[in-house]
Amino acid sequence: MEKKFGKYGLPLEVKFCKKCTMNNQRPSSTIEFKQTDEENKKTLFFGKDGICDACKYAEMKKSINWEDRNKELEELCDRFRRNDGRYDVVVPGSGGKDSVQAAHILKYKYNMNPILITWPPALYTSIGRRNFDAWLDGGFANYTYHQNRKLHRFLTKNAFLNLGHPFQPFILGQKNLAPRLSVLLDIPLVVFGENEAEYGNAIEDNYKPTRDPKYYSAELSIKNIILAGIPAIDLVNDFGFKLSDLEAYFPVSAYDIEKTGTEVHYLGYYTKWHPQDVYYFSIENSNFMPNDYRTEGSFSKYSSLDDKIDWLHYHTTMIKFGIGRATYDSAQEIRNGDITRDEGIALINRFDGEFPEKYIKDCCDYMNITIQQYHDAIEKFRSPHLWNKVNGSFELKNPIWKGLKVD
Amino acid sequence: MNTRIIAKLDVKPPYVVKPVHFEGLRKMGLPSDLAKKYYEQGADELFYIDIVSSLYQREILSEGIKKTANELFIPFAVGGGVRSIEDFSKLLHMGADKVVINTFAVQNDSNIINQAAEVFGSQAVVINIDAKKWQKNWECYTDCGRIQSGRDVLEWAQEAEQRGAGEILLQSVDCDGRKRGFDIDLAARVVDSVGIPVVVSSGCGSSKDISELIEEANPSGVAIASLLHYDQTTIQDIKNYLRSNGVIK
Amino acid sequence: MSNIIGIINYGIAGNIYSVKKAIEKAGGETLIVNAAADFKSVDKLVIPGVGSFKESMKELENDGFINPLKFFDKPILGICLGMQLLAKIGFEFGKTLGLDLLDAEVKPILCDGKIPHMGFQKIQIVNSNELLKGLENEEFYFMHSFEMINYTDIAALTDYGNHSFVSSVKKNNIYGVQFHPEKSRQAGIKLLKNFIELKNH
Repeated sequence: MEKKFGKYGLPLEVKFCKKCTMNNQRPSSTIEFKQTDEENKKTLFFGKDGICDACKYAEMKKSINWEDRNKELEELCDRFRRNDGRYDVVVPGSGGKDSVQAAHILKYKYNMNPILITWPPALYTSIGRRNFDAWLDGGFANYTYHQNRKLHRFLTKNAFLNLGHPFQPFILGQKNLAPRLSVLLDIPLVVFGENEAEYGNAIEDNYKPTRDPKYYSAELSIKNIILAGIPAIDLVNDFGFKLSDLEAYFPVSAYDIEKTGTEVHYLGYYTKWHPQDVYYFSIENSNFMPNDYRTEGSFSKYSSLDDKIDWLHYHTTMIKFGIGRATYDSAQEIRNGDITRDEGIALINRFDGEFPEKYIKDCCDYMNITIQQYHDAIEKFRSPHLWNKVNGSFELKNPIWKGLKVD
Repeated sequence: MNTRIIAKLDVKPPYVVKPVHFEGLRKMGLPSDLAKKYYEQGADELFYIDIVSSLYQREILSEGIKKTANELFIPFAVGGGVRSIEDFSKLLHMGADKVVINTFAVQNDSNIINQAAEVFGSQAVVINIDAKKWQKNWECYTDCGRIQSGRDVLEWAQEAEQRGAGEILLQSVDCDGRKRGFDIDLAARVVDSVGIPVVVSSGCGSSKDISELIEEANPSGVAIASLLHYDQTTIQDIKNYLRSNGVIK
Repeated sequence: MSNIIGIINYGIAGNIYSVKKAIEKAGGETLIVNAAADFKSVDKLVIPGVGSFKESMKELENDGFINPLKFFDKPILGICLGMQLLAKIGFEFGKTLGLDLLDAEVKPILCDGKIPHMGFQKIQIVNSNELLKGLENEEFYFMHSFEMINYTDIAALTDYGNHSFVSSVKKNNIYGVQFHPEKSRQAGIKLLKNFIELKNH
């Protein structure tokens, strides 16, 4: 039988969405705390008409009654609003445009009393630091959980070497900190700025405002958890890390969630999430600043600005899936009607997969590896069905700009 | 001579858009509609800049330009993605009176300035400088205010003048679209460093800002976008304010 | 009675589109003139004005316009560079012979102001004529680095940077304006209307 899947279980035949620039190699949300290198990825679903789930969702958004959704948000706030001066909603983020908007509208439009919480980047960019301060300048207090640096570096390094995914420790903590603090602070309501599903995860996820319980695991024991490709139990027994520090990366127990009555909601369900509109909102209502120049690997200046590791992250997605930051960004802009598909392709051709020159040294120093070691390690993760070696360097076999048939 | 009050259209064809810090593509209307509106309000000139042509590395789209030039009996400067003498010629034949260039002249071949001045005359060659503060100076940015060129703004302004440019359109990446005022220091330094007219743009939040800019930096022209596109004022109101302050006659 | 305004199209420069639109706005009928053979089809001629002296004279020569212009006895309006080309000689990028229809020279402007001279300015009419009728207090748009030095045919002057330069000329059927009427709002349209209404000699 003809082999249909390659590395990571990705489809061997590369197809591009007819509407946006995304392709069928894109993985949907992985359950991060169980991720190993061998696992097969569930990828972005393409309908028979050649249109991806994310575009379908964007289309579907046009017929949503946002007045009704707004009412639902009002009701949600009414349910959790406290009039005794205590905080009544946890808003996670780090000062990016989405958390700026979320904090602002919850406080000033819906009359809530937010406490901001932050799982900080391993390596703050200077624009990230500036925007974090600007976020609080809007009139908010903030709890930041500073990770055990030795542990976080260890996990970042191993996540890179074992999984080619240096961003994993950040993603884990970011997802889990909010419910964790909700329980600790006894503030049941958590509202995130957007919604993972916007980016093309299962379309069903978008119909619910709250996070799917499958991201928590009932009856989860340390025996089941794998971080950075290393079983958690080994992290304790072999590497000497403490459970107290590791817990920050684990999902919160479903039992605790229930006890507090924690509900994790996404603003993207209640408001029509259009990244550029959020950018303008942040600009108009705070001292938020975009990046000083084009973010490497893309054309944009206003997204994902605060973590140097993010730059490496997109380089790894390029190697593994043939999808760089310009592809992610352009697909999003196309769905929102800000650019056309042809313009997206021109931008991908120009910028996608650009090597993260700017922060490679900082990131490698952080992970205690040399840049050469970075290059050597990354080759383990290159998907052979996507790349050709031409004169000593790698080229995509099927880049979108080569006029590949759009199926 | 009075400082010119100029309306600026940043265009992502077919719409006029209004970025902030040269980011974002919020649509503000059609260029021909806005051009007519500002002409009737008493604009002294109109600037039309295709802000994505260089970034997308594509050819100049002409439809919007011709339509905008229609019924516009004030000077019309057009730019964005200009890369050759043919581009200059095409734009002039479409109704432009001056052609604006940035990215290609800074990043690829500055000789185009010399050539264009020789063929079309200096007065038809406008150099757009998108300046971003860097320590004590400013750096020139290209491709819609997002790619560094490594060139110092004051040096480049003087070089452009030497090469035959007839005018500078000076924008500020730091102030653009924020309506918090102009970078007056930048404006004054550039105006003082060259003998050619300088049109200053970026950051206008009120007529008072314009008045201050004219008094302190003495530019030949002031180009306004956000304040006009968001209908926060009209050109008549701006001129009335400036007249009452004695800043223009 | 025929009153067609010909606009000379000379090469890669020249903002003929703007001029055409403005003349039409003023009520005139236009014809783009690509060769001297078209002269017989027009009743007036406009020489538009964006380009450089040297390149423009080259184009005019290549297209065979120079002699026919000397013999065109109906009204001619030179705009900006178009006015400057009427001179004997120009000094932009070295010396270039002009159309020699006026006893004048074209030299770089020397004054205290920024060069090119760019913006709206009033004109002082020193010798009034049909072209400038009713336009004493109007402002017109100037956009040039060179000026015409002329003593015999001055119709109007303009002050800039502590210097007074020729802003309009007239000699017999030949008129010139240093400014751009097609870019000078209603005042410019009025001037073009005056030109359209000139009696053909």
